[in-house]
Amino acid sequence: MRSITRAAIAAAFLSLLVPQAAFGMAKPHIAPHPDTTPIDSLAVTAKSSVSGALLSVGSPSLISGGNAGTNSISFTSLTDGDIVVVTDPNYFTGHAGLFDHSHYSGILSYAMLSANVDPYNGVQYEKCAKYRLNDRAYALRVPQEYGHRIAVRDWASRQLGKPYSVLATKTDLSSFYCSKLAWAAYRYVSGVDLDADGGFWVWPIDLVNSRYTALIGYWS
Amino acid sequence: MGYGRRAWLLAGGVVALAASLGSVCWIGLQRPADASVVQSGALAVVLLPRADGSRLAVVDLANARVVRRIELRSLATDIAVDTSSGVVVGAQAGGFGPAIDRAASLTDVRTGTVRYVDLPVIDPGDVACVEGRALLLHSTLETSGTAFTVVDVASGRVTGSGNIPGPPGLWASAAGAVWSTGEDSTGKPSLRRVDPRSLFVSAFGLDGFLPTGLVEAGGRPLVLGRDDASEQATSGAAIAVDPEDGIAVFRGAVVGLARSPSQAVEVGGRLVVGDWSGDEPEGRALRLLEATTLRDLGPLSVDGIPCALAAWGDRLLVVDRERGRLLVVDPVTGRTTAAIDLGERDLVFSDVVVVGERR
Repeated sequence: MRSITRAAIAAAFLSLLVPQAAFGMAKPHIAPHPDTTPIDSLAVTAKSSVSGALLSVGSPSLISGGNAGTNSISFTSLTDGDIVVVTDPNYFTGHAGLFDHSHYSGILSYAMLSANVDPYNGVQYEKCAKYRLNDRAYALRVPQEYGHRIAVRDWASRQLGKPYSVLATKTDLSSFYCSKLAWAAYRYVSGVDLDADGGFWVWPIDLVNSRYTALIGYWS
Repeated sequence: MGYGRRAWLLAGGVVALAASLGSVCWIGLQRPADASVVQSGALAVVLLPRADGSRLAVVDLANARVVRRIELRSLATDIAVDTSSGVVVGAQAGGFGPAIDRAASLTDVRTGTVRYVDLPVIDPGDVACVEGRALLLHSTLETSGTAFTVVDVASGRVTGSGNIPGPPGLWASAAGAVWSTGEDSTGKPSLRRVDPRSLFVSAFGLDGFLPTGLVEAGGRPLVLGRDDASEQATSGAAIAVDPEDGIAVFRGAVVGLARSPSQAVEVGGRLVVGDWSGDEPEGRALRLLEATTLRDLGPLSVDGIPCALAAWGDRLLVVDRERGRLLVVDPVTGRTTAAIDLGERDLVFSDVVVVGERR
């Protein structure tokens, strides 16, 4: 009896330290990427195995999404504050967004909070349908109370309209890029650092590799 | 050896000549029929979404076959038809990052020509056409609200822009205006009317009704959704709204669907309502309502996953997402009178509009 209790306490402690160990799917192994500038990383190519299939990873820039395929991501099981990361075989960097359930009415609704390119554009609501037009989609959840996730979502929505920039530091909240918005929302609301490998940039795939995110869905 | 080689060359030449003559004859036989129908007959235009450039499949409805495929320069997430000119307008949102676009495509499906109008704002995700104008809703949220751009379809020029309060919502034309769903300053659902000429935006409260679909029916805007307090996604409803004062004229329950209703089309005095939202398990059911009173008339079964609906006279057009077909359905008997292969299966989403017969 004592050993069972001890095991339960150990499991609970472990789940606090490594949330994805508590629930969620097994994460794919993806080779680490260099945390270099987008321009420097143009030539980088690596290969890794995901579910037995070869994942060819190149990295043209942090802002790119290859849009090379389709996936059948379903948003039904997602809740406020969940993160969606999409990648393509030819583009390592991919794209990331934060789900806002209050704006969701189907695949054609604007319910993904993210930042996107253009000189004067920035944080915005994106159409969910666009997240189906990449080869792979990962749905991630940071295990915590629902109220916390609402606060994360609201923090991200308060950044709407702020400009896009890939060159500002992670802690500069005057501008965002896609994965930085999701990272910053959790960093400044929950105090959780979702950047798996640290460094100047937080790549979309860093959010997948983070020990604090649980993989709740994968579509290809 | 030399003679054998010549014989093979001769035989090959004869085969090649026969093949080219055959192709010329086949094209010659096919083209006149297609050309006449494409010039004057009713056409269905189906959006086939692709990340590297969506396509429009043009279907000759009288002969139930695809007569033309038109490639667009980027991903289009919505299409609408300008009924005054028959031009199909596409919201060329593009993908993420470098693949993003900021254009409206103006396609004359009868000739296959496409014009692009570059827009001042990126990411146009929805389009609605009224009185020769196309109004495109962007995902860009500015301090004064979500941006939209107006394009004059005939000249292909940007003629105006504006904002609707709050983040982007549903977007559709009805009763000579463009309508949008959103939230008021307190976060409650609201319906907005955009005057296509003055671009003046008026807002009406939806009294706790959560909108999941917005269409035109009976010359009025019809809001599909469910009550805010309802936990059951299946307890949907449809509200016909007076276009002048935004007051609900009729309200009907939409039962028997797996999710809240999200799409509807009026066909021969009946309203066909669906719940396809892109989520799994995908809704296959359709429901029939009496168009003016919104009284429930029962289920309508179709052979496929209905991800987009349109009306062609007294016939219902259904895009089957799974098998990539356009189904022509008699909504009274439920019988499928034609199933046209669009050439692509497993569509991630789609849209369909009808370009009417040219008189």
